[in-house]
Amino acid sequence: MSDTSDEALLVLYANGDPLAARALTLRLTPVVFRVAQRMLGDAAEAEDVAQEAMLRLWHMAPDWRAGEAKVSTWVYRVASNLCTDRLRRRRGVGLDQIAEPTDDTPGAMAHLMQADRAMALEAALQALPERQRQAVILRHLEGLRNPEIAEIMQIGVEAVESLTARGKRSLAAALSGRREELGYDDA
Amino acid sequence: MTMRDSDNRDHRDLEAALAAARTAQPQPSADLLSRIMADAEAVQPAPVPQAPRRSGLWPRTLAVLGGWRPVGGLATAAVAGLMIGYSDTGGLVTQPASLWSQTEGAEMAGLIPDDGFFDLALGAEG
Repeated sequence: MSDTSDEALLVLYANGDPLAARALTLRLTPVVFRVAQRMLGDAAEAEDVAQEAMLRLWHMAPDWRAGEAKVSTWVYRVASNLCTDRLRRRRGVGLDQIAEPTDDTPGAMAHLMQADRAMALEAALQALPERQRQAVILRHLEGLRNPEIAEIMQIGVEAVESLTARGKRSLAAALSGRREELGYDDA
Repeated sequence: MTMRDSDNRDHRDLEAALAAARTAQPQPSADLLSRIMADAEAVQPAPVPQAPRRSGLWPRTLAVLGGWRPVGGLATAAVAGLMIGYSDTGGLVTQPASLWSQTEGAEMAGLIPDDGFFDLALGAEG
């Protein structure tokens, strides 16, 4: 199963193969979950989105048309749309609502610093406009190429480039404002 | 520090943060994976029972050629060719009419509608 493509696994799944169900779950759930986690900033909501996205994949499997698209692209798109729906229904998460690390043991400072930076990035991501956040996550955290991102977001490639450029500028400015606190060196 | 130096530093810091985030990806819990597997099993179509396959060269050849009607045409042409080849004409065909009058053994017209021919062939392949 490890060398079988996502599409082949999906066809096998639609034909009743139990191993295909397991393989697809293990391959695709991490992808959907981490995108949702980064988009929503909330693990519980990310789990809901992941489960819903995968459920739609299971229902769609018998109708999958081979060769038309990548399964992963389809899954990214569904997860992104589910996240967008949720974000539109709720108010933005303020920075004050993100928990600060409480461990101040000496020797844990380096870990705290790294954790602080990771949390600072997450907070900065959450502060981005939704479409910039989505584009930055798909490009710089998922490593997808712009044409695939364009397909996922249903926009042109130039629009993707514009969103990622603006998103990165905003993130850089947000992190810059916390440089001393986060311990970044000048070197 | 110039604006350019400041921008470059900001860019480097962001790249470092993104690189760190890529190596520390959020992971789904075992509980989530179990729930998704349970959904997969609940929704999955039942396996399609496999019909017994007919093996052998003839059924596959028949399928490739498009069924017994085209094969009937081929068979007719083949037999006609045999007739021409074995007819006692001594070379070039000069009296084609006499050839086609020799039908009593060939029954060419009967080859296509004659189901017995194909039953024999199918039976031979088994």
